This record gives sequence, structure tokens and C-alpha cells, in this order.
Amino acid sequence: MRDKRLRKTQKARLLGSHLLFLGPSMLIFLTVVAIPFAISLLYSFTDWNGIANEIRFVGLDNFRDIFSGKARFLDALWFTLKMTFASVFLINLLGLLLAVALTTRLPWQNGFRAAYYLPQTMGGLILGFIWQFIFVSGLPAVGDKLHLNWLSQQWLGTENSAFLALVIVNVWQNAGYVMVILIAGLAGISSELIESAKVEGSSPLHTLLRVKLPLIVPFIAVALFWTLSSSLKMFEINLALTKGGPYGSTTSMALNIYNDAFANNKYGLATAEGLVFFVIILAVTSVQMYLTKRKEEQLA
Amino acid sequence: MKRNRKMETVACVGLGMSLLLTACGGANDSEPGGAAGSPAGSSAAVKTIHIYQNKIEIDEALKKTAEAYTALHPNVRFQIDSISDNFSTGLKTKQTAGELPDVFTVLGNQDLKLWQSQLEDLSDQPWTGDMIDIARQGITGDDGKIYGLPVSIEGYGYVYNKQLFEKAGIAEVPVTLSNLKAAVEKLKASGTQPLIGAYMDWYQAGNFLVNMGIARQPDPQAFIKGLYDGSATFVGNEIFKEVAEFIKYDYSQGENGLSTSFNMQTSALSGGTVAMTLGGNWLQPTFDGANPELEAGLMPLPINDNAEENDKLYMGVTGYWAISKNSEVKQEAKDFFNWLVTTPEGQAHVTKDMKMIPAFNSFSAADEDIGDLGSDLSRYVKEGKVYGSFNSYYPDGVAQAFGEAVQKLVAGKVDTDGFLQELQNEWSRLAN
Amino acid sequence: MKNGRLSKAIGFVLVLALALLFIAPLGVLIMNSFKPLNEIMGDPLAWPTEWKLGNYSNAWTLLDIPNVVKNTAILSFGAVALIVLLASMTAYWSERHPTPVSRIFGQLILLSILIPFATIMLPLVQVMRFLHLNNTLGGAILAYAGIGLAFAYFLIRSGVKSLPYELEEAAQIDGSGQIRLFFQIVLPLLAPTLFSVFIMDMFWVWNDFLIPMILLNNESLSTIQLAVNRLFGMYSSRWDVAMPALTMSMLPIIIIFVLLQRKIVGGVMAGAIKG
Repeated sequence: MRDKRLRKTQKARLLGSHLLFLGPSMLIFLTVVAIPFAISLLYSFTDWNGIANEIRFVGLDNFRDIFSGKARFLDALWFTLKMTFASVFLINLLGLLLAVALTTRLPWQNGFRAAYYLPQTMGGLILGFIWQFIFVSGLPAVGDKLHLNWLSQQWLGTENSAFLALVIVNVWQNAGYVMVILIAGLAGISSELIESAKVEGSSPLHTLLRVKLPLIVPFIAVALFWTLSSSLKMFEINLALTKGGPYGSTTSMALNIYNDAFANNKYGLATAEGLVFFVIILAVTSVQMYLTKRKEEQLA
Repeated sequence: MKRNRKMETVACVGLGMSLLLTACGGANDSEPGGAAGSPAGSSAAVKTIHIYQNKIEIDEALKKTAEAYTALHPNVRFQIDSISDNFSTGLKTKQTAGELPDVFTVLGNQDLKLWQSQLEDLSDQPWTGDMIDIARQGITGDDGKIYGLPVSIEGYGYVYNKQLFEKAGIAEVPVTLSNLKAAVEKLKASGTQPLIGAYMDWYQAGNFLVNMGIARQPDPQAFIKGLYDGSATFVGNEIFKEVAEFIKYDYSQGENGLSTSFNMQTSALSGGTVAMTLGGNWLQPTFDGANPELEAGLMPLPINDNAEENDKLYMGVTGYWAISKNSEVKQEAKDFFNWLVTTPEGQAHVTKDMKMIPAFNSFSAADEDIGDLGSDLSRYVKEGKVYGSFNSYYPDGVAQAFGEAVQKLVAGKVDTDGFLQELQNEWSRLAN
Repeated sequence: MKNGRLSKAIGFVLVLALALLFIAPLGVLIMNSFKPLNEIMGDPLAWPTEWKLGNYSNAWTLLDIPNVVKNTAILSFGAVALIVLLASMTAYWSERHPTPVSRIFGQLILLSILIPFATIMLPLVQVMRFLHLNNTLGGAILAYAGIGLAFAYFLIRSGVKSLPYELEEAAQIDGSGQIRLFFQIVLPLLAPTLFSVFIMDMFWVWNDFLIPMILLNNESLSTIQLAVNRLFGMYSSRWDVAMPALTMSMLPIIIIFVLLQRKIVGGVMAGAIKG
């Protein structure tokens, strides 16, 4: 008898603890993420302009517009993919090189690490504005002094150079983050392994490629995941640096959604785009995670 | 060490919780900033009118005007926000948040359609009968009611530096394209950069440059109607072709147009480094602030060699102040409007401080008050030498799309015919 | 050996050059923030001929720095404290007492990392308005908590995995409540991970723009990013105003970072290891 009662109170206690530990976060998550997400699902089937009091259902019209190219979605998608591909590659490459360089016991190592990480600590909007000044006034001034015409071009005035400008700022902001992640990975490799590799006559480069890299694949996976999703979602740098110009050629998906919602008063369309955007990010990062998982297993 | 960390975390959490509570409670009753120090003996409740408007040039003057009003009515204060970038975004997020400002700028026509359901009916106000016709047209809703106070008449053309023109030996303002080109050559010979174009932002290109084509159509209103119902098109339109060529010329005589923003363009003109640029009388306060010595004027934008057709400026009522129908200070706002446009003091603020040309029949602005640009515009208006400004009829988002089309044109991405096709495509896409 | 030395030297020089290049934009910004407008536009690379401190006092007033920094600080500390608390509670409990509900919840949380903010932007405003929490710092803090849960949960969960099981048993035998166990033993053990989360989320919230933009409409509640953006709306290309503003808005972060950089970078690394 006593046992049963004890178990009952224990169970009640457990339930209470469940509520206590999980309750608040579930509630907040529901309110702030889940419900808005569901609401946006609803709006995506309307042509609401964000202001009017009546809302009209238009079925799948928004989605049809998205995929038929009527909305600017496909252009934004293409641009975002191009930019993500270029950025992720460069960010991770630079991050890797920096991580390798800064685990070789160079003098002022910590200072360098801090210097490279510094851009990460600043807001995207501020970065964008600073670099706007640099591309419009700073670099041309340097180019004039050094007589390097390619530096003095209208960076933000042509499609390709504006694209390049965005990639540069993206890399500048995020390379430090990858660097830190990979340093963590490299630092965790036991020195015995390195020693034994050395003893076996492996050159530093060989050690790097054959021994170190495979050991830090989990870290590379994390770096890839974050850089991939953050590049796909890029917004603030885009807004501050190019505002999508010239002539809308550097409009990322996030900026496109923002424009459709606020500038074009097509809120229904914007939410539909937001949902498709989410699915795309989900797909891309899932593929990436799957591939890196497989690589991890291969090397394990 | 362990203990310390734990204390840290507990402290953080505790701090966080208390901040959360205070933030929730405190922020709710934070009073939006107004004039400091409430009058001691006042028993009437203080009302604050929140004005959210998009003419940043009048920001200072408007605040001064508001202070003058508060001196007369101590229980009415103002919070004034003048925003240009992201104006409509900010407005819409406020709307969604249920925080629509008491008074805000509505552009009329298409913009009115968007906001009408949220606006207070002002048809019974004393000044509605006094509005000039185009002002009334723009702010009359489809139910025949008046929904806003016309802020000012604005016009644009080329803003030019009289002193630099003199220096280059240009005696008369050019009203044909050939004369314009000749003037440009003279300016270059005298060592002055002739033109500057702000093509980095889409705003001017989309709103003003493309409007040139529409305004010069034989019947602009019919043309716009035709665009909406599909019977008219930009493609092949001769007038638009001339406009396109003009735009290309303007871009070619400036430097780095696609990297030049609005403020850069303005500072270049007020700083005296450039002779001409697209602009309007709204720039007067900016010029006065930056360079009071500047002698500027407004001249036409000649796109061909027909002097009579060219010798006009483009004019319209470019903004209205509307009152949110859910505002708690509706009556105070209406009173402020009345004071502004029907009393001598208010009118003086409008013309002398804000340097705006009123959109009313009963009072006008003296030339000395509104400055060179305003007086040039007034002169053209009096002589009937004006084209209309139709960008308020564009479908939502078209101004930006048009601006981008212009950018493509000047960047060489499309040729003139391609440009016209772009204009048509974008209109069709956004007008649905 | 000499080869090794030489290549090290070259490496050092390269790293130094690149580091200088990395910091250059900030240096240019700070240098120019002291110049009058015509000098900034005229020669962006020149050293200032006069140090116009007036630029800074002007920007100070225009940005309303004291108020804005206060708001950002309240928002950041409040939000991050809440995130750390909620995420650690959730992560710990899900790991130690998994139920189908907590498993699903965990998956949902992780999935939410991928939701772009643009998707939930306006509905979030509507929900906040419904709760009468829009235009309050508290509402924004809750928003950050909901959105930041994902990343923090992700990091802390791995930290929890490495906690010894003996703890549990000790607590059960001891009869001490779960709550006491959590606060007095688990949290301190998780401290390094929590510190990583704290650091990274602080940077995130401090520098965030969109959430304040849509949730904090009242100008007196502006954060640093909002104020800078508004300034640019009015004074863009008035670089003599914008630059001091940008510098001042970066300053708190940079100072803290420089002082604590070892700890911070270490924290981020620790987070990476756990992740």
C-alpha cells in the first residue's frame, strides 16, 4: 500500500518536474516560433497586403507565381545559391588555412586569433555600412594611389563586382568563426599522433592532409553546417551593402521576401516565399549533413 | 572556482528574470519623448501627437513649428520622426504591431488605396474646400471622402548652380536637347563637372525619370488607365524612347552614377563641385543648411529639340498627412492641421520655415520665403508651364522596379527598346 | 632547419599582413570618424588634419547613445540569461528523462534553426500584439528566447551527455529534489558550455537588427542597431555623422572582446568541441 502511494507521489513529482523543466521552453517556443510558422502557412494562401482588414484566399496562386518566375523568387534563389557556394567554399578554405597557421606556435598567436575573429563580433548591418564606404570611397582611393584600376571600379555599380563585394564581406565576417572551430579541432589532436607521423617521415603537408584533416572532419562538418545555413539566410549585409542593387541583381532570398512583404505589399506572396525558402534550406543542409556523416563514418 | 561559476550563473539568471519583469512593466508606460519638463500647473492631460513623415528636409523646421504650437497649446506635445529610407517598411511594421502613428505621410492615389481603411475621414475640415484641384484628386478616396492634408506642392527638373553657369558663360537656361549638350560642353570647358546622377538608389530614377515619359503623353491619365487595363503599353512609345536617350545622356555626363547615392548627389551640388543634377524644390532647406551662399535654380529637363514642349517643370502634390482613425489624439491632430493651414502663424511656418509651397488657393508662399528653387517653381506654375507627377498612380512596388530598369539601362544591360520592355514587364507583373 | 625557420618567417609575415588587412576597415572607419565631411569624401585614406571631436558629440546626441546602449544591454543580458536557463533545463531534462514528448520537442527545436526569420517575421508581430507584448523589451526578450533556444539546446545537449550518471544516483539516494540537483550541481558542471552559449548569444542579440526593428516600434526603446539604421535613413552619406555613430556602436563590443578575447575565443572553441 505504502509502496503504491509512494510511487504515485513519485510519479506526480516526476510529472511536475517534467512541466517545470520543459514547460516554459515549450510554451515560449510554441508562442514565438511554432505558432507564427503555422500562421505564415495560412497567409501563404492569401493575397493579403499586410494592412487591409479583409483577407482573400487565393489558393495556390502565390506558389504558382513563385515557381513560374513571376515573383522574383527564382532569381533570388539563383543568386543566393551562387553566393552561398562561393562564400562557403572561401570561408571554409580561409578558415582552415588560418586555423592551421595559428596552431603552429607563431608569436602573437592569440592576438592574431582575436584579430581574425573580430569581424564576427560586429553586427551585420554595421559591417555592411562600413564596407559600403570602403567599396565606394576607400578602395577607389587606394586604387588611384597605386594605379590599380580594378580597385577603383564602381564596385557596387555592376552585377559581378557587387556580387564579389558581398562575397568578400561575407568571408571577412565569417572566416574567423570557422577558424576558431577548426582550431578547437586541431588542438584536440593528440600530439603523439603527430609525433608518430613525423617519425614515419611524413612531411608537414602530408601530415596535414592525411592525418589531421580526417581527424577533424566532425568539426569541418559543424563549420560547413553553420556557414551554409548562415549564407543561405544572409540578410543584413545584403541590405546595408547593396540593398539588392544594382537593379536588384544582388537580392538574396531573405531580402526578396522582405521586399515583397514591405515594399511591394504582397504579404501573402512573401510568406509563401518564406515557406519555400525554409524547405530549400532544409533540403540543402540535410544533404550536407548526410554527406558529412557518411564521410565521418568512412573515416572512423 | 566551481562556486564562483555557479554564483555567476545564478546571478545571471536572477538578473535576467528581474530585468524581464521590469522590462515588461517598465517599458509599457514609457512616454515617447516629447518636449522636456511638463508645465507645472497644467491640469489638462498631456497629449502627444506622433508624426511619422518622410520629408527629412523639413525635420528641423517641423520640430520648430511643433514647439511653437506647443507654446500656444501647452498640453499638446509632439513626437516627430522624419525617415526616408525604409519609411514604408517602418510604417507597415508599426501597423502590424498596432502602433500606427497618429499622423503619417500617405502619397495619395495608389498609396491611399492601400491605407484608406485605416484613415480618419477629414471631409468636414475647414480647409478641404480650399485645396487646389490636383491636391484634392489625389487624396479623395473611392467613397468620395477626403483622407489627408496636402503637405506641399513640389516640382522638379534640373537643379542648377547659377554661379557655375555664369562662370561657364551660359546666358540662358537650355530648353532644347541640343542647347543642353552645348551647355554641358561649356561647363566642361570651364572646368566644372556638368552633371551628377544618383543612380545607386532606385528612388529618383523610378519616381521622377520614368514619370517624365508618362507626364508627356498626350493624355497621361488615359495612358495610365490603359496600362492598368492592358490597352496601353510602354513598348514602342516614342516619347519614352526620347526619355530613355535623355537618361543615358544624363548618366554619361556624370561620374560613377551607379555608385552615387542621393545624399552624395545633393552634397556635390551644394558644395559647388557639380553644375546640374536632377532635383526639386524640396532641396531648398538642405541647401540652405549646407551652403547658404549657393545660388541655385530650377530648369527644365529637355529631352528633344521642341522648346515649347520642353520648357516645363514637373509638378505635383507629393505627400499628404493623414490621421490614423484609431488615434487617441485625432481631435488634437485635426486642430494642429487647421492651425497650420488656416491661421497666419501656421501658414508662416509652412512657407517661411519649412519652405513649402502650399497646395491651397487661399495662401501662397512669398518668393523670399521659399528660396530660389521654390520661386522658380512658382513662376513656372503661374505660367502654366508644368507637367504632372504621376508616380503616385504606380502599382505598389513599381517605382522600385522602374528604378532598377533605369539602372539596367544606364549600365548598358538593356538597350532603349529593352528598357521599354522592362518597364512594361514590371508594370504587368506588379499591377495584377 | 633553416628551411623551417624561413617558411615560418614567411608564414608569420603573411599572417600579419592578412590580419592587418582584416582590421583595416575598422581602422579606416575610426580614422575617418574624426574628419570633417569634405575631408572624408576628398581623401578617405588620409590621416585627419584636425581631430573633430564635435563629430562624436553630434552623433552621441543624434543616436541618443545612453538610452540606446541601456536598451541593448537590458535586451541582451535578459535574453541571454533566459536562453541559457531554458535551454539548459530543456537539454538536461530531455537527456536524462527522455519521453516521446521531449524527443519530438527536441527534434522540432533543432529543425527551427533552419527557419529563416523572414518567414515568421510578421506573424510574430501579430502574436506579440495579441499578447500585448509588442513594443516592450520583455516581448523582445521572449522572442529571442524562443528563437535562440535551438542553438543553445544544440550546444548544451552535448555538454549534458558528458555529465556523469553517478550524479543522478547520488541525488536519488539523497532524496534531494530535481530542482536542487539541477541548480546546485548540474549547472555548475555545465558552466564551460554555458559560458560558450552565453558569449555567442550575447554577440547575436547585441548585434541583431530585425527583431528590434519589428518588435520595438517606440523610438525610446531603440537598440544600437536600430538607431544606426535610422541614422542612415536620415543621414546616409553624411559620413561625418554616420562614422562616429558606427564607431560608438561597435565600441562596447570591441572593448569587451579585446579584454576578454582569450576567454571568449576559448569559449567558442569549447562550444565547437561539444557541438
